[in-house]
Amino acid sequence: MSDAPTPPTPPRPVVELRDVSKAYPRPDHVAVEHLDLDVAAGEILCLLGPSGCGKTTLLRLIAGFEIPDTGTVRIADQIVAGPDAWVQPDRRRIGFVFQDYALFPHLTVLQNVAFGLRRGSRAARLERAKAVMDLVGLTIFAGRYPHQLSGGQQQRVALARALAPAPAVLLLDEPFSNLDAALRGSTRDEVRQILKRTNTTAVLVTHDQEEAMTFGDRLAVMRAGHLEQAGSAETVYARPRTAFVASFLGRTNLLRGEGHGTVARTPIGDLALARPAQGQVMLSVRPESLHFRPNGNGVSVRVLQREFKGHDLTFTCQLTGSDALRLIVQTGPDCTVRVGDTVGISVTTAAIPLEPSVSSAASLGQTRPTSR
Amino acid sequence: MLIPALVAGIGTVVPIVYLVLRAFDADAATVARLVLRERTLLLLLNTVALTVGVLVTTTIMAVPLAWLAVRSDLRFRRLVTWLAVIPLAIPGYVVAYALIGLGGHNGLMAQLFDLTVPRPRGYWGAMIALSMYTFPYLFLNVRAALMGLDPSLEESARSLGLGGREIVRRVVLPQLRPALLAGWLVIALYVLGDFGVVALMRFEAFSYAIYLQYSAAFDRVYAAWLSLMLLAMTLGIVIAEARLLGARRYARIGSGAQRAVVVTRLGRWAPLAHGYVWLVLLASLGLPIIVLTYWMALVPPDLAAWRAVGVAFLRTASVAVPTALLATAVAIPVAYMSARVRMRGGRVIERLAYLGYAIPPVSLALAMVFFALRSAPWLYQTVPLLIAAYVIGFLALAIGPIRSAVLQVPARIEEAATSLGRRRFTAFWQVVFPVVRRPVIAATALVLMVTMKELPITFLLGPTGFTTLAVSVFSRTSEGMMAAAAPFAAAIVVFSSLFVGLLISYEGRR
Repeated sequence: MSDAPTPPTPPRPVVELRDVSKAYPRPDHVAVEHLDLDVAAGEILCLLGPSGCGKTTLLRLIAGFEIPDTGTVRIADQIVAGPDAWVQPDRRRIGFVFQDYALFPHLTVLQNVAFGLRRGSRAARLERAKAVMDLVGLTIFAGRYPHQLSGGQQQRVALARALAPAPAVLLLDEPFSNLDAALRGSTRDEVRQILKRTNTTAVLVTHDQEEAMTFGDRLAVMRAGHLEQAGSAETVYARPRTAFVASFLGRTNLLRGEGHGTVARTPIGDLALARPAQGQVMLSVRPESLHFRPNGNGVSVRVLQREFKGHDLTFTCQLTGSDALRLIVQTGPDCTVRVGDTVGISVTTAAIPLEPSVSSAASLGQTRPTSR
Repeated sequence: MLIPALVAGIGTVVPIVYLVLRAFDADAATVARLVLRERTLLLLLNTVALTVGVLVTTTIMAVPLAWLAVRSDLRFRRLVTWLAVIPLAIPGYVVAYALIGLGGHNGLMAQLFDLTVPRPRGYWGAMIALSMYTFPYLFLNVRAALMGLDPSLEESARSLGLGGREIVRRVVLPQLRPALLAGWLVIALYVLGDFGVVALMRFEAFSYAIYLQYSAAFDRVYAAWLSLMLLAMTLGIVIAEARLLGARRYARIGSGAQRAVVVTRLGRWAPLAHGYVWLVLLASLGLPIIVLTYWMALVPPDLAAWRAVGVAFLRTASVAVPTALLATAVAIPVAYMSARVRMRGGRVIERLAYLGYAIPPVSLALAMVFFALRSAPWLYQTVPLLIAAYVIGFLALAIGPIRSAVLQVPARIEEAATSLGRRRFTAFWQVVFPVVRRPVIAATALVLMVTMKELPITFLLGPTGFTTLAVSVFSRTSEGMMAAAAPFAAAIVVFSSLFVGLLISYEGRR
């Protein structure tokens, strides 16, 4: 910003949500409660959460398809929803890619892509539409109708249509969930490349943790209308803030312990902590941080179950002592431990102390427990 | 969007209000003396007997026909289906005309078989005529239900040890229940609302009595009371149907694709089935055509007669076309609101439109007369008032197809258009309307066809001398001028059949 005073402030986020709430009179709609969120220019943010956590509602609040009860929404330095501001969706400079694509069935691919282009001469609009179609590799389908295309092609038309007017932010609502597994991975990579090439700011909603981790520059984990944690995939995976985040993003072992500074006393022995904690604390230990000790060192466990997954092995074990605690251990594919064996176990990386969820106290009853 | 919807809603309420106002014009004692007399009870019994008779007859006609057309290996099943729907195009008064034209000295039977049968009159005449033109409504409903029946349900019943007859009783019939109820409801509404048939057959059911009271006896308070009673009966039937249907689920539960319908081999029963099918079709479709052809051959219409038909046709079209366009224009916002907008009012207005459809036409016409006389004398016996009454009466016909079409368009489509810079209204016209264009045209055609053959509203409400095709058929037939009525009736049948054929093929191509 040219009128920015000294010292230079960082550029404003493209999307800014402050204290946004949305409640529905009917219980089958998911609410969003006092939520703050920023999306920086050119960033791809993935909103991740179980079904019914309010992530789609949040996306629709940004788009303007829903009106927030409280808080403000700002897009590209303009307040689009607030106590005394409201901008209709058609004036927000957003692009929206729907789960079912919502292509206009009566228009050709070219007409669909050109639908949002309203400024400039006819020739200029046509040129822009063709350029975007070229970008997503659709040029040869220009004259076809949506129903004549495959799912993956429809998906790209939807993307091209949303990108054509060069929106300030692109919103994607589970755009890959209608594609079959084989196509999903490659389409995802393609779309990501296109977004990066055009330096598009994007928010993508998904319930697939793998998709969120590979697609987003940053991910935001939601639960029961609250934002549990936001950050890069690596940070959120390695340093989950709450038990929910730890178990939603991959598998984990949740252990009760008693913190004494940088060490905590737990049923599987004294563990080093990633950050200091005092008193009763819940700890997350990833399965790949646990290792079998063939010579019987460490705490001894009995193996209950063994799952071979090709590139790795997952074991379910139970402590042999009075505590019937169960643990998940992940090893390489050539581990020789079998069901029924009694082996020692040890922890190699620091355990992560967890905070209680914001949402857990208020709304545990609403969310289904995440069983994974 | 809101304004046409509100106009539509108010439009339905106004006539009922005026009916009530007129009914309470007289003091309580007079009202009691008028209403609580034997004649009222007689009318009530007549109407109930007529309704029950028609329901029984149409069930006997339609259910086996539907079963044969869907679940048997009967030959020409497509043709049979098509022919069984065509009677929708033949108005009741033309069927009545055909029955009357059979008997008498110059009648078809007398000329061809030298057999002078009395012209059918009264209960039996009315009951048969009504059954023959209303049975397609039941046929269509039962046919759709039979096609939707999941054969695996019958197979699992069989695997649980039920015999053929038991399966029909415990599995098939319960599943046909909603279709039967829906069909019976429509037919009962037609019977209650019918004017042409009961008037031509001189059978004292409510609507004929209302007309007599109004035109001959000029007793408008009693006419208003009879109209209200008829309206109450109609609403009672609608509510009863909703209650009987209840909140049960009949749709397929669970996943998996449904398999094709299993066809029963008729074998040695085939001749009997054919005999039955062609008898029904001969009675419902063949009879009017044969009788009309007979009278036109007996006294071939001259040029002047054909010119009169042309004039009446154009006159009919001059009210039917604006009615169809106006009804569609009002139906689009109402249908859109009830399908899309999360608002109580939307549903209420839609219900009111259906109320307008359920009001017996004679009651509606009378209510509009009262309204005009009391509040807008300059509208009395004018074409605009006639068109307004048509629109109130037929709006629901246009809403139905448009609403279900809008419901099939995902709301995402409009949101996509909005996210691409269109306002809501523009979004509707640019992306929803093109998709629902065909049903909109079908709705317009339906209203046009129904208005073209409408009788009681035109008869009571039209300007003096405003003889449409329907009025021409009716007045000539009621005076026994069978030959003079024939070309007008033929014009209606030809025109309506073309439209029904058009609508069926339109539906088929969707």
